[in-house]
Amino acid sequence: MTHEEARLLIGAVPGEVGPTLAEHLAGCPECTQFQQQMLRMNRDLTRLFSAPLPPRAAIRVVALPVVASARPKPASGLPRWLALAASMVVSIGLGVMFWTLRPQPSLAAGVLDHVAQESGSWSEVAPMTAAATDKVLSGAGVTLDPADTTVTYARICLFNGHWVPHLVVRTARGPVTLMVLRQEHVPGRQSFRQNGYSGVLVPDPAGGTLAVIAQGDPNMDDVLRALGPHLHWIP
Amino acid sequence: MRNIPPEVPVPLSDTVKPAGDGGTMALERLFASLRPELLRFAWWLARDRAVAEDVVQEALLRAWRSRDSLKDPAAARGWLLTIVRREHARLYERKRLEITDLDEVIAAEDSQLGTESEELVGLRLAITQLPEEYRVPLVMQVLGGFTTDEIARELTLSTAAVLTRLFRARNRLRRIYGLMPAPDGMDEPAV
Repeated sequence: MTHEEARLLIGAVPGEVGPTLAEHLAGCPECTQFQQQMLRMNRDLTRLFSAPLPPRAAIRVVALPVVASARPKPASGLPRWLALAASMVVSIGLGVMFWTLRPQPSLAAGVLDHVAQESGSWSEVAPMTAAATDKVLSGAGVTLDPADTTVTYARICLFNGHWVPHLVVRTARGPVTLMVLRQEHVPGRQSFRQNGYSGVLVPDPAGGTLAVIAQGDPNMDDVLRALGPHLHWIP
Repeated sequence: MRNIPPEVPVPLSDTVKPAGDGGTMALERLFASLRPELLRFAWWLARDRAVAEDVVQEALLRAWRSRDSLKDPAAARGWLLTIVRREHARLYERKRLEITDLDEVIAAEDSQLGTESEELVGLRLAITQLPEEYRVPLVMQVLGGFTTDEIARELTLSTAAVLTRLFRARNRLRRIYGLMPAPDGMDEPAV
């Protein structure tokens, strides 16, 4: 085995020493030194690759196509008065739901479990673009006013076997998590508190469930009232 | 399903689902438990947190759709890492991603990390600046735990070509340690 062949193997797989390479190393201090250097580098690589990731940078390394902030009107051409009416129905509906309470413990616990698993979502502060938020909400039957809400986290998450939008919205009451659970049905509002989170499940006008979770023990009626006007259900 | 009065805290133990849904729930939890590692893997491929999150998102969607093809849950990690790698490659091809001002970004990110030694900071920067053809096999090997044969199959290269690329990747990183790179003039074996 030549020095070049030995160094190729060492550099490619530093920790792997077959019989031929071992024989070469036994008689070659230069290649042995090269191996020690590569092993040290590999330890650093392992450390580096397991280190925490940098947060989302303000500047993107990779330039993805960005949709202009002025969003086109929905193709449906829904009259503005109808959208406003739908918004009012949602607000009133949320209030009425407060009085029609029938809990579903597994769903509430599942939501809390999911939010706890993605606890990093609360600490995101960089606003998502309207395009990114729309992408996550597409198909969920709901939109958020981009001008009036700051969304700092928007993901499509696997929940109870379905992919659901999971957003964190900055409100005057602090960050609030929204999950639009189209496949889940609750007969009425359910409130819950656990592990430093407060939440409500409310039936949404599209027949699914809206989960709203906040940190601490805020008045969830206030939270819902703060969110309600910015949520619009698409018929 | 047990009903409880409103405003009563719900114990997390109530997340137990009906037995018939057990497989799906177990897979969902498995996916969730692997997500941080998938995100780390994707970050080192894409070198950008937001892109990495998008890649993992798409990969998990894709994996979920084809979950029936995962026969052995023990193989889930490698299976998902492979899907992430392919999703990243697909995104790269689709968008023709442009690298912009990489040094500035890495410097900004390093200032946020703050705790790494100067050498590790240099190593991080050097890895992110490696050409794709060297960085991808290195990340697959060290972070993903793939063997050279597995990398060769996945990247449709010969094993010899993968060995050469891995050697060249590490050889370029030697500068970070103040070492001269070894002669690197060998031709890459045919794919």
